[in-house]
Amino acid sequence: MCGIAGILESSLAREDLVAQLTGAQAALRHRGPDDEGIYLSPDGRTGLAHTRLAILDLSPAGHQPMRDASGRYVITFNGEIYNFQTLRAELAAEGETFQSQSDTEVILKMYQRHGPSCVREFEGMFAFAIWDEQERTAFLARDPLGIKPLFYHERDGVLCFASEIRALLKFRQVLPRVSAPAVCDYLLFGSVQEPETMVEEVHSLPAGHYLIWKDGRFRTRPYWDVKFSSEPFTPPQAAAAVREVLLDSVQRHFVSDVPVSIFLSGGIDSTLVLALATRVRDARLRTFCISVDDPAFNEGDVAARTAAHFRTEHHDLRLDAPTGRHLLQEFLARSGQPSIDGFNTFCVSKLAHDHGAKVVLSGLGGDELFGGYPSFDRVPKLVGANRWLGLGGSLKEFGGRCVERFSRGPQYRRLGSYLAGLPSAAGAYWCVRGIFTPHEARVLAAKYAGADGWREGAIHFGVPAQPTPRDEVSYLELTRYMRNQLLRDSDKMSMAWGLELRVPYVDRKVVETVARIPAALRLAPGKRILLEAVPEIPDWVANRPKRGFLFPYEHWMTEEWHDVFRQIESESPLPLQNWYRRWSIFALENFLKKLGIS
Amino acid sequence: MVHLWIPDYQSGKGGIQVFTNYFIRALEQLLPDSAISIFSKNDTSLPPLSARISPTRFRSAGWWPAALRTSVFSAQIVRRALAERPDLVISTHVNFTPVARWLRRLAGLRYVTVAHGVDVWGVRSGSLPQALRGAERVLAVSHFTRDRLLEDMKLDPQRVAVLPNTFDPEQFQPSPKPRYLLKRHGLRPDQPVILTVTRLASAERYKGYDQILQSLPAIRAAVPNVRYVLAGRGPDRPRVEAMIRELGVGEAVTLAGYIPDHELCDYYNLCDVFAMPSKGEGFGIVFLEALACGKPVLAGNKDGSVDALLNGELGVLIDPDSRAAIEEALIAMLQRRHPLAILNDPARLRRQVIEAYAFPQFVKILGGHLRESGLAPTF
Repeated sequence: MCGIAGILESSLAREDLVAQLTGAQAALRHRGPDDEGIYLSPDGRTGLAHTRLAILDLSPAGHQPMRDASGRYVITFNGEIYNFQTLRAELAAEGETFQSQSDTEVILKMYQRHGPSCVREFEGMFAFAIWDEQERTAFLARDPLGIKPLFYHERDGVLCFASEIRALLKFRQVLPRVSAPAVCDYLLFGSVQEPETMVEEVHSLPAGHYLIWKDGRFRTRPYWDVKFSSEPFTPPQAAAAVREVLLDSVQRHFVSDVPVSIFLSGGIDSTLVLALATRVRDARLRTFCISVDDPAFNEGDVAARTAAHFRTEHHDLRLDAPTGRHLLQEFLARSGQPSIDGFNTFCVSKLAHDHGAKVVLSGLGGDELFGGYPSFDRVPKLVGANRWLGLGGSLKEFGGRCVERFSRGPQYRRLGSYLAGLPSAAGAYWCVRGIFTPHEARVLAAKYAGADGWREGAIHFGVPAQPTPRDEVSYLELTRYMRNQLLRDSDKMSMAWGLELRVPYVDRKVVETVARIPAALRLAPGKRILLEAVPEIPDWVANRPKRGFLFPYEHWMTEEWHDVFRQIESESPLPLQNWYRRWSIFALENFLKKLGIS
Repeated sequence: MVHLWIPDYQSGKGGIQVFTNYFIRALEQLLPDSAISIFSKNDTSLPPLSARISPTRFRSAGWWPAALRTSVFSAQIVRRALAERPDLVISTHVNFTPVARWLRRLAGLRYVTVAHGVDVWGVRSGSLPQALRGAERVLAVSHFTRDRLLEDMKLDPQRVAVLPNTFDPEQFQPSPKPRYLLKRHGLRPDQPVILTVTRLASAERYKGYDQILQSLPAIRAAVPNVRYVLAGRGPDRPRVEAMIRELGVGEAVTLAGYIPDHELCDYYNLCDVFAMPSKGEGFGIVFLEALACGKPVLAGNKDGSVDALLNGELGVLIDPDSRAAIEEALIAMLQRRHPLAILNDPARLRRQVIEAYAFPQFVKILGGHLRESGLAPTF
């Protein structure tokens, strides 16, 4: 995959603009080590940059930024369009001619002929910018579910953008000032919620949105959103629909001019991807897995058995505390916005990279769509409890505050805080998924950002209406945890190793199809619908109790990694108590230090 | 402080919900220093609110069982109104006004209400006319609704003002026919399309989609490859399907189902004529949205649509009961030979509808009404 950056309608001197653009490009080199390019408009006011990881059309014809034959349109693109061959054939039938075999040229031609609504036809992951030299307008877009990142900054009619914040900071108009509300958000949830970012005035273009830039002004518009509709399905119909759409998605995600491998854990989601992949591919597949020396967390044995069952070429990285610690430094050097996740993806991506893999499929997204998290049960229960307790009037608030104030466990303090407030689903979601209470987050944000950054809507934010409370949880998991944490970390950590991660569950067609199935079937316990849809999943995976892809952090932090985390604990204004709270502060300090943000 | 009583913010997506959203935004602009509390009857979740309105100021009775909801909602609004004594209560639906009238008598609270259309037409007796008479202002969404209020309920003309609906021109922009929709519905780019967007419910049959379906055989005779795209879902669908079979127009009709917000603009751009010969529009926001996309619009001449189309300046008004009139107008519009010149000038349609009904206009008009009643900007 690739890195993109650009600056539009700047009044900088030509040399200065080129220097800043080249700086941004250099900061993106790890994303695309195979090729790079810069486009500068004839008047020297607009520049686009690209770094390329060649996956499709490995020839120089796929070079970017790419211009159309007339020279009017220029594109810089990060991602993959899996249906580009179909679209290409359709455009050819309309009389269009092509210079390359790449998906990039298809995007360019689609926009040229059909305008902004062309994004509705792209199946895949993407973030791109198209500059129209004649009209002097730009069109920036991001994929429907937010797989590929795109950050932007506007000041005085000049817009700059990049795939990573670190690259965006190479443009001098972007000042390295930390955003207090974003820090507060991060401490509440463990990740920064788009469109906010850790840097003041830098925004993430939200998933499923595009941005049109004209005459020094821009507007963003949504073109897609998740919507559950609960239509009539019998269980067999639902299972058949799920199988058909997932099989189709896995097949589409194999579009590549280099070999495609699979990240395999002991869980249902990645096993399903492997099972369906063996249906659509004849060649022997390669699988990668991380195992740990703590049997309570280890998934390596199950994955190895599954790999043997499907006859893959299986690679396993045995991770113990010393190896982990060694990788930790490198992880910190390469991480972007802080998050309490990402280290596991970093490790498994390194393993794949060390074995020469360039494209890997992952089971990310299965939990969000098919109810793999405890939040699917807990959030509706919490909302119900909070509503009924509401009959007690202000007693509820008093009781909640007491629980928050006097409990020892962080989860009980969050519970108390939630019960003292509104019975919103978003609040309950925070209670289940959150890290610090609002009070704690404000104390810590004041320390790290100089202001507490608190906003009323930070926890009780609005959620579009869905048919059932469990659909609402699915919406929250897809648009908060997955979008702002899992996908951000996966992009950043795989790109750190020049590896393209593909996510067949996180696909517009899959989500649209699955969203029509009622929650009672779709979110049945133990992912029953997936087991019925794909009976090839072996029993030892199907019957295994659900476990997250976790490392024994708690143990490592108190033993082998103790010295690294001791200082964080001792300097903290409040007790950190468990691994994810310690990690969140550790990651935040690293981010602030590395970027020299004040 | 203002208390705003609304039926719902997002649990349904009809004209009243859209209106309520704009109304809240306008109030935020007009009353920058006032706290605004929102009381919703039907919302089941917290809607996305702007930064100005604290989530703690949003209350809903929506999670209560339907049988208890009205009582719970009434108790909530009365209790909070008596405890907080707001400077003004605004109800975006007339059905809540009897409670407001009671609060006025009990505690001297002042209230304003919005009258949309079918909610007030033809009501001559009962508690509603009395409650509307007690309001500082009744804001009717069209002149048509205002006239009906004056006639049916004998309200004081001084107290009934018009606050037309509004729309967001940024969200509704002209574009070529979106290819993904052409593909979805198997249409050719040059194929003429008539569009209606409405809920398919027996209570909404006044929207006139029955009439268009019945006109289709005649329209097809003049415009052979025409396609009627009827967008929206609802319990009336089986009856509509049966009617399509009966008329033998299956090939010429697409029932597009529910249209999510982010696709609505693309659907307007898919059509060549937006037609809704309704008999019961309070106003008809959809007309404004279609016009902003530069589309010729056909509407009925017996309801609030007349306001939306500026008495026929912006589109074609016909007798919604006359199938012959609908047929004739639609054929002329599809063949681009209708005498109303503006129909063939998309840029002018867009410009004029923005001048008349864009959000800044709405804020200005609402601000004027509030000021005239001595309600803004001082409270």
